[in-house]
Amino acid sequence: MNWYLNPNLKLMFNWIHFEGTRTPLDPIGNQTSGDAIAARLHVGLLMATLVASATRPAYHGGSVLPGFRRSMVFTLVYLGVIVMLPLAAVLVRGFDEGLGHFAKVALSDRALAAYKLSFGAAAVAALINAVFGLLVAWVLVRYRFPARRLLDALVDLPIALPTAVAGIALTAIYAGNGWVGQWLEPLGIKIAFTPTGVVIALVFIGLPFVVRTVEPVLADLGKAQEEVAATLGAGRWMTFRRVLLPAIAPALLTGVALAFARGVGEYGSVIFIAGNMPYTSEIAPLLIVIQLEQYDYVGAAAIAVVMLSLSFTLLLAINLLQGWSRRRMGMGARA
Amino acid sequence: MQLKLEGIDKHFGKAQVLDRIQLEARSGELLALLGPSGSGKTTLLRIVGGLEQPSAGRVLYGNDDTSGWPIQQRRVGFVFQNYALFRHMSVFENVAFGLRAQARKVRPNETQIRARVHELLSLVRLEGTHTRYPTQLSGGQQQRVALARALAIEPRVLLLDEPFGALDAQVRKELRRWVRQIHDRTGLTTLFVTHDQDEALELADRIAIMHAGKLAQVGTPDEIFDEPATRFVHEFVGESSALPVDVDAGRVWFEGRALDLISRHDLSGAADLLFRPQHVALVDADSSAIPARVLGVVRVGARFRIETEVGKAATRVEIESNVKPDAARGAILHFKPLRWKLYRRANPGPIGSTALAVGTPSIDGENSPQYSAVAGVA
Repeated sequence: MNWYLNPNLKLMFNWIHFEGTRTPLDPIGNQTSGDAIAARLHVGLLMATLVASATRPAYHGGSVLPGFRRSMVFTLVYLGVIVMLPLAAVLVRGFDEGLGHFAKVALSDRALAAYKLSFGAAAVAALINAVFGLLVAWVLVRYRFPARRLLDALVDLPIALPTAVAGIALTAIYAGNGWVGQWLEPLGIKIAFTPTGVVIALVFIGLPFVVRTVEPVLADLGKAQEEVAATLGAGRWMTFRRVLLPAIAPALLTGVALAFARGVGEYGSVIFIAGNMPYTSEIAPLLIVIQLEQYDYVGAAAIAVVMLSLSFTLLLAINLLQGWSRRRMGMGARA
Repeated sequence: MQLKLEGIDKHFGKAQVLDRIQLEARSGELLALLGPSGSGKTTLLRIVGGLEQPSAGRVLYGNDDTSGWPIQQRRVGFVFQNYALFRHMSVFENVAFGLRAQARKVRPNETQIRARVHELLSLVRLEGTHTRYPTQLSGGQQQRVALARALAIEPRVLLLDEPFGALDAQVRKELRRWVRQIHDRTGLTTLFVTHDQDEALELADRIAIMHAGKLAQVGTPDEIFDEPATRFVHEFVGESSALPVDVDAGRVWFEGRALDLISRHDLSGAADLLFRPQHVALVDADSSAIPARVLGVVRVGARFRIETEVGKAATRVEIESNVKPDAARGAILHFKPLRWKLYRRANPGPIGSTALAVGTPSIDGENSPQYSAVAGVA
């Protein structure tokens, strides 16, 4: 399953476009053919609007930007067709057989456990990535070393890799007889086929999102900020806490939100390592697939509706938090 | 506090950026590091500030060898080229940063911090801007915030990297004068890097000219301008014209004319005669004067500049004059350099291709015994 088909990620995709130029990561990368098509479609439509506005050179109150009304209409239509329509279909479908069926499937104990795992593991993985992704980004930006380009390319690999490949690879490593697993098993640490395994898979999947969003902001910040802090007597920790972190907080939040959203919707890499035991290591997207395999389309849609609303709420909250942190850091005060 | 650099070398990989730099800034002195880009001046400043470690040599603050001192303990006020203000902090917090960073035992309390910050802001004439953010300030204001922030930690030395580089001409001029005032009031030993000679000549007590990782000359603005130690300094600071001449036992010959310029040193060989447009007198036709063909006259402020070409090689020579010269294009004028210098050409060849080999003058002013640069007043 490709991530661009994932409703949660679709949501993210639009969210990013709202963010505009501040967000350096372009999720419609050039990784898979599906993405490429989406990108082309996107660019095509964009061109169409620009051409449309160019053909009738209207006076836009002296602004060189295309007219607000025209671009707004385009934006709404685009979002409507690409995002709202499918989501509306899911929403309607979810309640097709009444609230009773909806509750039975989407709010069953098994489903609740799955939501908890999906959202919980995604949150934990996103936080882990917040710390280590930041570290990776910092090293890539601040230092010049021989294999830097190689390492840099490596960061994107989790996005490029078919998720199933990642899942199989991770399982092979962390299973009881795997490279890493065989050393951990005697210590009583089990990773594969447990929620820990899910977290590890999601950490793997989410890393590029944090690194790629933080990297350009760090580069833009320059090392002079850190140097000046040092000349003023600040140690590493104070420099990090008072100079670096506030400056990159909005970008870091974006990265974490992306990693989290990706984690919630992740399917391919997780199902191999999770073991998929109901109530303990079964993720919500898998539950949807199980419903589909039983031809319970309404049930599948019902679970999707719950995931959708949870994701949307959380992403909206993160977005608001981000706006708040930016204002607090004086970024909003830019004249 | 006096600042001493002893034999500073710096390599980046194979490239040698600094070559045995010996330099001393006297206590309370405003010293400019002047040089073209790539001459190593910023690297030297960063080494003094502890942002960079020298490959060899040492930096002394007063009598303390700073090798191995962590930068946090050096107490240097470093103002970066683009100010590096903390964009997410108000002006107040920017200036207070260094005070808050102090160790708990010596850290002033909130009231003291507030008093100190406001005192500094009034020193840099930025009262009332303390709640603003850097992005809301003009370039000149940002620069002053950066300076106030650096002064907050009561630095031992003040280091400024191209302090006026990013400002427009008008603000530049104003800030120059004002930085001089601040310097005089605080009495701090100050080093500043610049590629702008006017800035260095106007502002500095002494100027250290850097060229390709070496010190070409250290001296007062007058010494630098009037007594350049090397051909590079002569051409880099101020304007100059160079004529290819032959020297025979101290006598200067230009294309078969014996000029009445006599070198005090008895030397011979091919050399370049350098002089400034300001140090040229127009004279009547005379076999010992140099004839020049007028290309044009332009007004430069209150004065006039005659552009001419001289000799077979049509060397460009500029002459400055207080009165509008009565010279049409194509007319022939005669001139004599009043102050001039000879630089021996190591290899005969195109004019100015090779500067005369010159020993790097040492800091204490004992000039190299080589007869590299020979000055005279005709």
